[in-house]
Amino acid sequence: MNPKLTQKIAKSLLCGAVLLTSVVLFFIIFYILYHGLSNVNWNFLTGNVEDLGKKGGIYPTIVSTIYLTALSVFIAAPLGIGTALYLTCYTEENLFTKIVRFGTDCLAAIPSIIFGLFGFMLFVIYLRLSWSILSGALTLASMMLPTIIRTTEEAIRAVPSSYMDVNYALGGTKLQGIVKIILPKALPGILTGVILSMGRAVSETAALIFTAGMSLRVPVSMFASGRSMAVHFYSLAREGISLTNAFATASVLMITVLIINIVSYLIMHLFLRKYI
Amino acid sequence: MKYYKEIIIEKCIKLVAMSTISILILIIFFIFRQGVPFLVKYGLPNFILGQKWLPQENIFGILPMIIGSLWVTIGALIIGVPIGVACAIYLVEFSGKHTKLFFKPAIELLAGIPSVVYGFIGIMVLAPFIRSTFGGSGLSILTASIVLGIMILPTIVSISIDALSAVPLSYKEGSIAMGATNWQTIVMVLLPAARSGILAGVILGMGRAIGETMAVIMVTGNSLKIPSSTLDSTRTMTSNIALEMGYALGDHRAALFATAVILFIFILLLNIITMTVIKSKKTR
Amino acid sequence: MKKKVVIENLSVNIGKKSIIRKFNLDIYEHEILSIIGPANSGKSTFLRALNRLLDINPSFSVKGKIFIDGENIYRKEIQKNELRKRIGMIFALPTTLPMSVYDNLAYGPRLHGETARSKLLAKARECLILSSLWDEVKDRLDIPAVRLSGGQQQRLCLARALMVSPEIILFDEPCSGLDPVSTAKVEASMIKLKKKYTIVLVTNNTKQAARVGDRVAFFLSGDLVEVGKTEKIFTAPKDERTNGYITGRFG
Repeated sequence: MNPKLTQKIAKSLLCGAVLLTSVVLFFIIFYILYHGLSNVNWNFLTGNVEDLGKKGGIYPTIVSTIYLTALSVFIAAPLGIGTALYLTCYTEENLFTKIVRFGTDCLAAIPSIIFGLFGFMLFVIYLRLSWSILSGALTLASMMLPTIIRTTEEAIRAVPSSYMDVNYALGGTKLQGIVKIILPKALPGILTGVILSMGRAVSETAALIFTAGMSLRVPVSMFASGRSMAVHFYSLAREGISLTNAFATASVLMITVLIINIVSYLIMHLFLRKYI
Repeated sequence: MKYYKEIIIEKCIKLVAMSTISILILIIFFIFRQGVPFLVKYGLPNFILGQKWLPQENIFGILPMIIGSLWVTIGALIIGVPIGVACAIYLVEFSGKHTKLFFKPAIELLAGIPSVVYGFIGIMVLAPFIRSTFGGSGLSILTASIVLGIMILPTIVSISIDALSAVPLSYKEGSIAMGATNWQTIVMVLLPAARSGILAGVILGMGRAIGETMAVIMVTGNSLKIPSSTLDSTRTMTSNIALEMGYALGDHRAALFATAVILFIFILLLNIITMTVIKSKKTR
Repeated sequence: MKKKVVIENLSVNIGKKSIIRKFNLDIYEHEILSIIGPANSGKSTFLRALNRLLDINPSFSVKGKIFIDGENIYRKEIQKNELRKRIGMIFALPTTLPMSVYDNLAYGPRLHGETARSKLLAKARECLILSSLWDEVKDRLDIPAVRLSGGQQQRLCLARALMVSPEIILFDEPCSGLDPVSTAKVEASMIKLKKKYTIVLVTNNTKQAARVGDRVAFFLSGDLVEVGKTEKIFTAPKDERTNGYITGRFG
């Protein structure tokens, strides 16, 4: 067959794939928002969950979600960034670092349900934290750690090593070089990794069901149980409790994820241009 | 004085790193500690090859779930890989700047959608469609494969884009200089050169598909029988754990942890394969 | 002339491989010492031994002593960052930091605690004049340094090194990526700087060494072959190998 004709056919097929994917994406977003957005109003966002979710709003779940996400990032980010700093700036490449990297790569690939199991055994049962925001946050933090370590490592490695040479030549210490040159330059990459981890925390369900619990009340402290938006949505959808509220909850979830994605995209692209 | 500050901070960072690494080890240790004794007691072959899962009678065979996981995953790959690689090729080789600018964030957005939402759309849109077209309940391996296929698209697309972009320009130039069309160059030069990168992406996608829980629970029907057709309902390893963990005790609970161990080892193997694939590319 | 730097039995190894074999050398105050030699002779390594930049990579092992103003800089108690403040270094490729021109210049003094903007600005002006860059950037101190041309960036690196008031300045093939006009400007700066500083210049370009250096040292494969006044080395070198390199028989 004529090569030019083959190319035309191939190109249309490929273009078709791209169009198909885009259509699917749009469909998902619009389907949820179309059916759900109309029910998302102030009452919905600030009202308590009534009748297991058949009526009322999702305020407690919003609070739980924010609490869980904030707490888990608060735990995971310093640990992850510190570990990455250690691996890149304070040791040389040797067997130990290779093992650590392999370990984090493996853990990054582990299904969230297994983290849920781990969190259940260690935090809920063994450490007697019971179903609580703290158990959930610790579990989420464990899930975030490998990703944050990896993205931070990549961001730091992307900074040219010549900058540290300049720092030393001018009489700076290693810490000054890290704080004044490397971290600022790597910051967009690090932030992106952290923010995307936040996105995953918001979306996470399997790991939270067994750790943060299913309580419908606003958690009064981190030791109280609390149901996140995603877990609530899962319950509404699967138990068939209320389709209207399911769509509405999903809409809130989707918009949250959208905002998180937009923020991380903006950081990556605007930050870069400003700081060079 | 400045010198002391340096040392203290270095020690702190080292402490942080060591603690984190210990946590990672702890995770692995805990899972195995809960699951391995059961495997030893019950017998690995009995567990993996047992065809019945009846916790009330202390029978724990996860073969149906293994088959379910594998079938659903392979189905997801059949759907996700061609479309994903096709998108990647189009974006790297044929599209203009505007398409790229729009599509890359779009793909990342697709990756951010919660899995429960995917499952929900599976129940609400896909299942009825499959029910009306093929009969049955609509909750089947096929439904799950389609949903999972879409879910792993972002992974395959972004890794394939990286793999294709990493092919040296000289390869392409050499082919075009000989008069080949763009498409011929892609098929004969670029794809083979990017082969291991794309393969790594596929394996990663496979890991994601096998590990997916929530969406799968919602659309597979969760039957405990060994499936015989793509339209059959099935239960995956992950679904099994999620469905029964809430009320499992004693041996039952240990069996679920053992399932987690099997999953873990499987994903570990996938990771090792990926690393070997990437390494062999580098040494070429 | 007073001796600024005295190198005694210095040798550098990576693991078992020898990079620089044992040698002695004196460097006098306010002179420009050019170091010439083919690639991989150990010239840049020697430079980095002077400001202990080699220490960053633990696989390097340095033996021997280097005395600056009579003090051995390889003794145990030395504060490396204080030492490096006294020795400035300009690298082969312009390595401007990802900041504005002003922040690049202020980086060094800020490391050592100087934050007063007026003082920094005054010093910046002084250093930019010394490196022949002031006229070109005086109205643009806040632009990102990468927007400058290659030659301007290199002169900025020179000004930046001067900001911490070093006593010795090390140049590691500073003009290798520069056009002739920028090269001339850098060389002119070096000659200007000689009055206040002691300069060691590593260069691949023998003609540059002849233009700029008071004395020349020839390194070959890790050995210091010969050192002497520029005129002498270029007209009547004592060693056959020096002659071979200068006349271009090898290199």
